[in-house]
Amino acid sequence: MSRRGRGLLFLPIGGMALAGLVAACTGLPDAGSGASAYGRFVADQMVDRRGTTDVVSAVTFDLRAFDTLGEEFILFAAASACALILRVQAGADPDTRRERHAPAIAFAGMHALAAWLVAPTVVLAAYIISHGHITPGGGFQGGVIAASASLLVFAAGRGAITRSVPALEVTEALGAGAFALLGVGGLVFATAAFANFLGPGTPGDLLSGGTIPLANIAVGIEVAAAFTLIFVELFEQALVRDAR
Amino acid sequence: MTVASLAILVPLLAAALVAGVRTSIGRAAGEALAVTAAAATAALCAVLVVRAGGPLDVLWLGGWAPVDGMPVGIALTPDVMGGGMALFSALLAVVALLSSRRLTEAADPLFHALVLVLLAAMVGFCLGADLFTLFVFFELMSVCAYALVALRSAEPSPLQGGVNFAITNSLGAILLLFGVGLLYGRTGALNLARIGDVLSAQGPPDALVVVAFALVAGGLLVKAAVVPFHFWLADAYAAASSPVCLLLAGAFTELGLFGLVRVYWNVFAEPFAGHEGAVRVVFVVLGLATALVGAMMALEQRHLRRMLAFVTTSTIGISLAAIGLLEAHALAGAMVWALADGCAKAALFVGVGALERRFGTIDAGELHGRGRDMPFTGAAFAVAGLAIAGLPPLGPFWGKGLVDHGAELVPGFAWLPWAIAVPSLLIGAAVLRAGAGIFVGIGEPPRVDPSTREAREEPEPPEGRDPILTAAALLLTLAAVGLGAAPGLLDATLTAAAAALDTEAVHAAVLFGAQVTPAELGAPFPSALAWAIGILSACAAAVVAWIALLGAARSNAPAPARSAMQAMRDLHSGHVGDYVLWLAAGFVALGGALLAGLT
Amino acid sequence: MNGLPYLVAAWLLVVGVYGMVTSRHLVHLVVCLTVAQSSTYVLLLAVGYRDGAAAPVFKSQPASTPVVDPIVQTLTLTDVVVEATVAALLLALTVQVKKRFGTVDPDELAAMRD
Repeated sequence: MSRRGRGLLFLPIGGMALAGLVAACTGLPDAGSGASAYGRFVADQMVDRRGTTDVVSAVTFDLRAFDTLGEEFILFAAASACALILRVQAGADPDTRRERHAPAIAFAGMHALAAWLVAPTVVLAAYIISHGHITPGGGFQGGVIAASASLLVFAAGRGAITRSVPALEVTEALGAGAFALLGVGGLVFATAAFANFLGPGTPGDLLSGGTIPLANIAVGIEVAAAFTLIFVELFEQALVRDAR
Repeated sequence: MTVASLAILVPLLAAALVAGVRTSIGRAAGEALAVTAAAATAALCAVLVVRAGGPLDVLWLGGWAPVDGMPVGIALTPDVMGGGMALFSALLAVVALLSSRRLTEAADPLFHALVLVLLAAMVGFCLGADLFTLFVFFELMSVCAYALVALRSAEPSPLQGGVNFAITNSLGAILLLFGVGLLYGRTGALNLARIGDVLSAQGPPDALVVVAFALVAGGLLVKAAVVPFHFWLADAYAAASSPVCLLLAGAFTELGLFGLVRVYWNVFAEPFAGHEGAVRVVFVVLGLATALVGAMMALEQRHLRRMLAFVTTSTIGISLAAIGLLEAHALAGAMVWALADGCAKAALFVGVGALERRFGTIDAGELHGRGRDMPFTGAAFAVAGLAIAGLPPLGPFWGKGLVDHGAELVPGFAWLPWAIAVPSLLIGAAVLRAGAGIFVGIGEPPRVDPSTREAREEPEPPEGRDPILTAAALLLTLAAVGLGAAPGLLDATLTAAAAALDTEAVHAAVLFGAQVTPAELGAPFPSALAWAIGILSACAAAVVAWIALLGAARSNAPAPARSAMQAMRDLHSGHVGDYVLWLAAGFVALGGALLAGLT
Repeated sequence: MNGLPYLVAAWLLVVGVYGMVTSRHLVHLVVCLTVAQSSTYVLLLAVGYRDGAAAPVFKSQPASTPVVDPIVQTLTLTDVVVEATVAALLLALTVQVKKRFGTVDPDELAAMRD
């Protein structure tokens, strides 16, 4: 079917789909009308029950930790698979000269700025990960910030980061395994998997929330490693192309 | 109920371990670790199934019990149906890991880690009782499957299959999530039982509930490869290796239907009470259409895995038609059929894998007559083909018998057993034809038809016989044959199906902790009509296979039939834009049909 | 304001799928998939929004302040991570398609299949 044919055929289908979705959305309560009873329970009771002031973290890593487990492993599977796919086909190419130290971006001002920004970025990431249960943030957000530090390293002209791939894969597996172990810890030390087996502590303290800060750290490590792995593998593609 | 949580956590931990140490340990150690973990998971699931016979034991994760009757945590409901499906998936994972020993892409232990994560996702999906948890594990299953199919794509033509698979299934998942969002907005709950309760208290279903059902059911049916969402299946199976296909065909696609059963009976059965007729019509029609499309395309294929992909599509259609009757006997029959047929398909995939290892090709034309010295694999092919066609007293026949009984109980569907027999005999014929052509050398090899668009696969270097593969194929065939004879299996399945259908009891157990023991039911012996249909369809399958082998069918078919077949083949174009278009059209049609029937 | 976010969500979904159907480049197709996915973010967050309410963090506000629904924020967070990783996987496959076939136009790829 030609592209034009597909487009024309889709117009009535899309129109009907839009009509159906809009009809469905008219059945929803008005936007802005308020949280559901489930949400209100969490907002009212999580601070006391779990000692965290960031209720979203409490939900992600305690109330609905099982979903987060699945999400962690989606990240793990996808990042590892990406790395393997890109490496397999890069290795299969016979005439690659990989210049590991050749800067892909040849602008000295950019190098300096990027190099200067790496350390603050990593510190920011560590802050966001460790304070995830107190202020907005957490493992995922902080992990992505840490991964962006690898982009800065690349912009600073250090292609050598591509040598860190095996370490990244191990770190990623470590993070994922640590989160699953926290689940087992719930089984061993408390009643059910992913139960918060450490005490809640005082809300607002760094050491509060029980296992939630630990989960944040595990997730932060895993997300940082996974996204860095993906970025690094894609850098290699760019470096390979530029070196030819 | 630590067993249920462990059944999910053990394979995940093992996967992280295998992936973490994979550069330090060799391939053999990684494999051994993976097989042990998969076997341990199977053992845990077996314990779950054995313990699940009594009242439903709901597990609230994190220790979050319902607060004032409102569920706040995530629940796992290890009932017999879920536990049984999880056990079957675990056993298939063990077989897949064992039969992947010589594959090139399994050289990196990441392959084993991905299979373990896929297994954990399947177990989590089977046991989950929360809508968002089902979505997350659905996506986890899908991502692992994309990765496993894509790992092989060092070759050109399978690469497109992986891309088509990933894009269409991702879109299905997005639409599923949109439906979940609509349901959360309406009910404020994510627990399946709670959503069902709130919806049924709100009166007759309006546009939102029906559209949400269409989106959720449609998303699950994309995974199950029901027409018109089925185009990705053949491309993906052509791309993947045989062990991965085995896992995909036996467990992954079946779980789409399993999810539909879970969601329908927990959430939508009560709100839709009184409108079952419309729902029945929609699903039976979808199921039969899928079965027929799959059967007709299967007869056309030379590429053995593509043929088996269309056989899978057809069997999914038959299962959906049975489930669509919305009746306990039919559901139990569909479950038995899925199990026995899953074993038969697994045996066929293992057999195809053995052929590929021996000869380096899986094109039926190139393999014609070359399998004469592989009698055991050939026997497995023949028996599996007859089983799929429904020959009594092989395994799938008992499932069909229950479905026939169910069809008699539902007014207006007494014709269904005959309708189901047609696609099953056609797919049985496709398998028998392939088997007879390869292992006995009857008839002429299928001609290369220039109008067929099949992915050309580069031949792998042939390696030689593998007795483990042959043994696995035989064992699986025996399982397919003997499943019906297992004592008490049919009764247990019927009891499990009736328990799953009993929405009130499930809601009471999940929301209020009521301990209701399901009533033990005895499965009726298949009627004389069921026996007659089974024998007839097996004979017809053999006849159709014979005609196809003699090559007469293609040249003597009337012109309109040939152009219709050509049009259908052209639809399976391999173009991802086409697939997305049909997917969108399918969702709109499903939504429109349900809106028309239910509001 | 009542139903506008929901309309935006529905529109994003349909437009994203239209882009996928008529795409001429696999990277464009993956980005259209991302657009379709973002419709679910808008829907979820709109469902949980509460007029005049604050973010669900109680560090500097008393525990009784009305806040928006924290559950949908968790769901959206999970959704974003899932979508990002699937997109990464698809883009890795796209890179490989370019290397093997030399083109990323779905029309040309389908024609090459024969």
